[in-house]
Amino acid sequence: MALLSEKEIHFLGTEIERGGLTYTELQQELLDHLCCDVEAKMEEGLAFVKALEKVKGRMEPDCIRQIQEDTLLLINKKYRLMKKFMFILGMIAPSMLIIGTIFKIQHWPGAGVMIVLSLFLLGAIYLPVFVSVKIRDTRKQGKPVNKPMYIFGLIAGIVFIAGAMFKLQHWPGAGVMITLSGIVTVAIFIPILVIQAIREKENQVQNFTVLIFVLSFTAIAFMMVALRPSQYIMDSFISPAIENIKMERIIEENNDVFIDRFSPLYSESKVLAEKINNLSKRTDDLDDYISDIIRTIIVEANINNQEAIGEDGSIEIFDLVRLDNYSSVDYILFGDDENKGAGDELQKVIEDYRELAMAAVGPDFSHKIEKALETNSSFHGEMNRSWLESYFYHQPMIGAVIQLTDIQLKIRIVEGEVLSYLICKLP
Amino acid sequence: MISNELLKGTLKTIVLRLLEENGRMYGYEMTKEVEKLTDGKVKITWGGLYPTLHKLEADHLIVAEEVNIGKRVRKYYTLTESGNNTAKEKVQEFIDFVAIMGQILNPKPSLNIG
Repeated sequence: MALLSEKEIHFLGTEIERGGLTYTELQQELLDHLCCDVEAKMEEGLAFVKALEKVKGRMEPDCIRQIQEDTLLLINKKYRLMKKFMFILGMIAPSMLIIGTIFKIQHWPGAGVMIVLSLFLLGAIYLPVFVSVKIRDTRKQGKPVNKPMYIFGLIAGIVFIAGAMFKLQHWPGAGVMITLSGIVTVAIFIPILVIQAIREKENQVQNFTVLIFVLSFTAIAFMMVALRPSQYIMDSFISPAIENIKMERIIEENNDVFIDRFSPLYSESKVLAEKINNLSKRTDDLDDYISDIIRTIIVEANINNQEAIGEDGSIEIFDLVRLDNYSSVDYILFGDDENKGAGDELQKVIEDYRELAMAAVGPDFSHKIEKALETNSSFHGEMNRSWLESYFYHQPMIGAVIQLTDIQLKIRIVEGEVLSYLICKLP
Repeated sequence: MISNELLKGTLKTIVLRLLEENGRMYGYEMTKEVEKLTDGKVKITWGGLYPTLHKLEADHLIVAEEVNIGKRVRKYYTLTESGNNTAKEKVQEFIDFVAIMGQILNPKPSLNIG
């Protein structure tokens, strides 16, 4: 059998390349096939050029490119599906995120589910699929794959999205995740992006656009952290809270002393003794209830605030961190889609206590109590907001602590007033 | 000559059958073998053959082995174990298909005398 010379093979090779073949897996194979065909014709006695002409005459125009297309289509079905899936997901997830955010702002139900689901789709599915498609595309074009760029980009992206999701759902660990993704982005991902953008000549416009967007978003994220109120301003809110707690203790002690001193006098009257004991117990219960809420709010603001709580439940205000966190107050008192906040219950127990105290004293005195513990009017006379909203909604954590300790102080004052009223009435 | 339209769906079966019979083959050899077996009535074009070969390879039914022939590379294909099973299934399926088509196309003379 006649074997073609190296030169002739090379000629046929260029012929195939001219046919539009770029897929290397096919190149060698089609060349061999073409060589065999030409050799067979040469066996019949034709010269190389004539033989080639004859073979080419039987070939359909553009058939080489067609073979390549058919082959890629057949073997890359999965990849095509993946790409299609990616585009569809890329439309659905962000739309759902935007709708979820609008629901969240409007306090409509279902916001949490939509936000978590869309962030999950983006972080756990879209990003990895995008990276694998992108790597395959780059490989297919015969270009080197910048692995660190994809790996660190993927890590930063996934951790950031998970952090955002945790933050919105009040799950622990959100802060750590967001900080970590920020560090990976600034210290590793952005430098790699810059180098890639400088090195690669072909996609410079695309690379620089990505780079600029990553930089802008990082800058905005940092700015939002920087916009948090200054620590000094927050510190000035500490003293009212401390004063409230101090005053409450003094009055509580006073009331206890009062009860101790006068109990021999009123214990003869069973009705009065019961009244006083009941009042004292109810005051302690409400005090404890509010303390519980305060502790929940400060721990929600930052888990480290656990350490500011003493064994007896007392709070060391100076040791608190994240005084400016307002989402904790909203979450604990107003709740979200899944949890009902404690706010309504709080207002109800205050009102119950007020009724009890008012019933214990005469009408000439009860209006003072009503005024001290009122829960009807709103702050600054804002008509469309309830008492609870105007005092607590979107308040920083330390603001809520001040309000709540103020209520504790007031109920101790009311307790004392009622006690002295009752004891003055003694014969 | 058998039209390409008819051959389209059977190419996979033909390739698997050829490899089952002959063990190791390369593309050009397959086209020639089919020509020989059918006295030139069936001509497999490379446009149909190579995409099919690559698809079978991607599905792990056949494996390729590159051998240097003079100054060029030749790709030999052999069946894998699962390819062997698939070849048997496909061939049987096709034989059944031909038999059924036969029933449609040349109905036996009816015995019912009305």
